[in-house]
Amino acid sequence: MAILTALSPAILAVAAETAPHAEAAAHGAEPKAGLPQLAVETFAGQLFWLAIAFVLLYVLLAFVVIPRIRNVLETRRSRIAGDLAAAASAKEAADAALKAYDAALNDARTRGRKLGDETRAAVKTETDAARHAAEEKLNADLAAADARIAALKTTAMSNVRTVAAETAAEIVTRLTGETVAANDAGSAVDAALAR
Amino acid sequence: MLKMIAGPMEQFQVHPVSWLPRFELGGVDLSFTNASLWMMIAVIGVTAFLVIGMARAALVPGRLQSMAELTYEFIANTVRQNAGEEGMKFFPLIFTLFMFVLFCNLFGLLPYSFTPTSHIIVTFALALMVFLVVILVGLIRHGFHFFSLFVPGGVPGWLLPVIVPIEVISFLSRPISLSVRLFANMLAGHTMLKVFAMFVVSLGTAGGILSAGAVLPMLGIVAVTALEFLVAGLQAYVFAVLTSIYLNDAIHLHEH
Repeated sequence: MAILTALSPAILAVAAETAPHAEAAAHGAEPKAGLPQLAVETFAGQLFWLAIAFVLLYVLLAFVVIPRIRNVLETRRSRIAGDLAAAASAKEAADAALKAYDAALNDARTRGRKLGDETRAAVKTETDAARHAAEEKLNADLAAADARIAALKTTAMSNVRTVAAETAAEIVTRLTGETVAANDAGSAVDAALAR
Repeated sequence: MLKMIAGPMEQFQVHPVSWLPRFELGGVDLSFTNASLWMMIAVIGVTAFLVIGMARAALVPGRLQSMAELTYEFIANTVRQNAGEEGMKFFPLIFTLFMFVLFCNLFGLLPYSFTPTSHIIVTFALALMVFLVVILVGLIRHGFHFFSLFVPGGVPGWLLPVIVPIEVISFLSRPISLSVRLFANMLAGHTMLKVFAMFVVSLGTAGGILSAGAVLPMLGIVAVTALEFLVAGLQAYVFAVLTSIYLNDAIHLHEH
């Protein structure tokens, strides 16, 4: 409050300063009672300068400013649209590449599996054949050995008969002093063997 | 002492600019006045704002360029929404109206300035121009059929003698409402500011406890000034929107 009271002479001075001006305006420029808006004598001048100002602004905006702004906005819009389209096509290319990669991978995998299967089958037939051959050879060897054993056995058995006949004849000779014909001894051995 | 202080209406006085010669044409005083001066300042202000803003015309706009572009797109969207794509033919006119009114309003808030849009003759001239453009566009596009604007669809025939005069009156009152709305808003706001200012001075110089009371109208001035900035933009926008709507009537007649 003290400040305001201190300031009041200054405010008074300012008020006094403006007062003559206001009075000069009021008296000097004659009958200006009532709303200044209704001072008809100013209308012609207002309209005249309004027309000049408005037409000037219209020409400046319509032919200089608006085309420039529109141009900038249009450039930006087309640039953004172009960039978006480029991004979309790049994405499409990437997708296609991914798909191609997947297909190639799948293809390689199938081919690898097929190749493995084929190789495995080929190796199996080969080993099977080799095993068959070996088995056959073994079987043949076995059969031959069996045959030889049988032959040897027959020979041995016939040798046994001869030895038995001779032995029997000798025994008879020693015991009885009689000689036994080889044929009689032989048939006796046969008879004993048959029993 | 109150008498010594300029009245709240003095700010609206039109007087010739002292440093220029008087100018008369056919006995009519066409001198360059403070009103003319502030109209020209508005023209220069609008042009400077937009030209400087768009000077670099950068792909990625800076602050000022963003403001210029936003203003442009704001009005362009308003016109497109209210008057359709065909209404965009009149975009330069509506944009000029908006910018002119906006800058006249805003510069009018500067101390010691003058508000051209606080004068009914100025706003009425602008509104009348809009009105005439609407009628011309309507007549050129639809011929005599344009007057079917006064016959709303779906109204029973016996009501027409009542409805048509009402529609005609409402159509004819458009330029009046358009101009009075703007003028009255500017007049009221500036008068209020001045009245508050007078309170501050008279209370401040009254002495004693009254001097402290001067704070209240001072705060009032701050609030009203903020409000007036809003009103300045809003009224310019309302002017542009109504112009778009009226043009839409003329372009599309009954389709809306």
